[in-house]
Parts: sequence; structure tokens; C-alpha cells
Amino acid sequence: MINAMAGHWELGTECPSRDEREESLWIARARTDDEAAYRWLLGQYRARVVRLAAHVLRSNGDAEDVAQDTFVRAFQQLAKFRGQGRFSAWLFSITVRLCLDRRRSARTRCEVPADTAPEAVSADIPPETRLLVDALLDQLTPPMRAALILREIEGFDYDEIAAALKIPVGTVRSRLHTARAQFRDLWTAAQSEENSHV
Amino acid sequence: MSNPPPTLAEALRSLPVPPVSAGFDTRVLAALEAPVPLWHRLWQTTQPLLLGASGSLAVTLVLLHVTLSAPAIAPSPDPIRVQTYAATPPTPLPSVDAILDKPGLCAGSLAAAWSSPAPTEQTPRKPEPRRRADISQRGTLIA
Repeated sequence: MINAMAGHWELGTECPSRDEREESLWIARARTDDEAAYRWLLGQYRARVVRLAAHVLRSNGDAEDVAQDTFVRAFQQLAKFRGQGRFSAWLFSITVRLCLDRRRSARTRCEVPADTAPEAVSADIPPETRLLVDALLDQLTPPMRAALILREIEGFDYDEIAAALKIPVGTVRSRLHTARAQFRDLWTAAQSEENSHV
Repeated sequence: MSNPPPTLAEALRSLPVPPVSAGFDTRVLAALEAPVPLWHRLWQTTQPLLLGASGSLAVTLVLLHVTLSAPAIAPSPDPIRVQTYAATPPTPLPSVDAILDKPGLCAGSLAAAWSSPAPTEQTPRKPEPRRRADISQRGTLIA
């Protein structure tokens, strides 16, 4: 077994890329409370964690709070990360868990977060499509949204999503299938409505 | 709206990314430097011990409850022996003097008397072997 830097990988498994080796080095330094390592990891994952939290919570203000809690918890519990999977998968699983906890506590306090403020916008996709996706995300439950974002934006495989959400792989498949079907239905309905107006 | 539907991934990536405030990193690092409460540190160190102790205490209490709630039953004797002795009337033990006074006294007389023969069956008595004294007596008589 090769024990290289912080990342432990076994013979026979896929050899880590240069980026992954660099990340392992930074993680090893972060384990020794190195502030530069913390800053490097923050720079790598800050925007992605905030985006995931914002999509799951549908609230930008809460997303930043959850992202902050995610990094604090991850850095405090860095010893628990054994390097058996991707660091991002471990980090995002903490994010999703905190998001779901926050949703649960908000529901018990009867709070409805709905302050989604659009900022940077991609120019390639027409605004109607973005509205459709927004509508789709509103229709989905937070765990379904998390599965969708992890799959479609972060490119996680089903096993990683199942591990992050602590649900069976079959459930992940069915949730994603349902989400895609709902998006198709929304798209078709929007198209037919536009055609009827024309 | 264009006719061919975009893939869901494309559409999701087109969603706006929320901005992160300027002091984000500083707040995270400040939270990391904040002192951990004493109870939290104590709980972290004693958690495995306390969990193990509470688990074993629970198991002990369950076992104790099961043991105490069971009815106290005396150990039952062998049912076969009970039937056998209940069916047969008690036989008085022969006295040692009576056995010793019997004329046909031999080495197994006492053992045979104290063994518990079936009361219903009387084993036929074997003819006693002749003694050397009798033979010699008879010989003197003949002579």
C-alpha cells in the first residue's frame, strides 16, 4: 500500500492525477492547522459549496451561512477524511447534511426562505430556460435537488451521491429519473403554451 | 425559446451562482481559532468510554430483570425415578443382625439385602454352595 502524503491509495486502484496529488498535499498541511492550506482549500471549493447550498436551500443568504459551517466542520474533522474517496464528495456530503438540517429546523420554526437573488448569469442559455429550471428546482424536494446538482453540475457518479445523501443507489437513480422527467414535462408544457400564443 | 430542449445539465449550469461575501474566508478561519468549550473537549475524550459503560449497564440491567422476574422453581427430580418409587410400596431395610443370623451366610448376603430389588419380582434363590466344613462333617459322620 502506498501512503503518499495525506491521500492514501492502494495498489490496484486508479492512480491519482496531478491535481489530486496536489490536493492531497494541501489536505495534509491543513491537518497540521496550516492557514495557507485552509485558504487554498477555501479557494478551491468556496464557490462550489455555496452554489450547492444555494440550490438545495433555494436561499442565497442561508447558503453562505451553511457554506461557512461546512468549512469549519470539515477543517475540524479533517482527521476523519481517510482519503478513500474524493475530498469534494466528502465536503459536499457535509454541505448537504447541513442544508437538510437547516431546512428541517426552518420548517419547525415555520420559516420559508425565498430570497433567491440572481447574480452572475450565463449568456448561452435563454432566460426562459433558466426560469424553467428554477421552476423545476422549486418543485423538487431538497434531497432531490441535492441529487440533481451533484449529478448534473458536479458530475458525481451514483455511488458518490448515494454516499453523500446516505440513501441507496436505486433511490438516487429513481430520484434523478423523476427530476429529468419533470424537467421534460415542464419544457413540453412551456413549448405548447408558447405555440398556442403564436 | 429554441425548439430543441437543452439538457438538464446545461440548464442547471446556466443558473446564477450566488456571490460570496468578502469576509467569508476570514470568518471561517476565525471560527476555527475560537476556543473549543471545555464540555465539548471532555465529551470528545470520554465519549467512547461513556458509551461502552452505558451499553454494558443496560445489558446488565436487562439480564438482572430477566433473572429476578423468572419464577423460583425447585429443581425437578428425575420423573422416571419418581414413577418407579411411587408405584412400589416402601420396603423396610432388613436388619443387619437378621442377615448375619441366617444360616446360608455368604460374602454377597449384605450387598444383596441392601440392593433394591423389584418388589414384584422375587429372584429365585440360587442353591447355596456346599461348605468345606459341611463336607468334612459329613465325612466324619460317614466314617
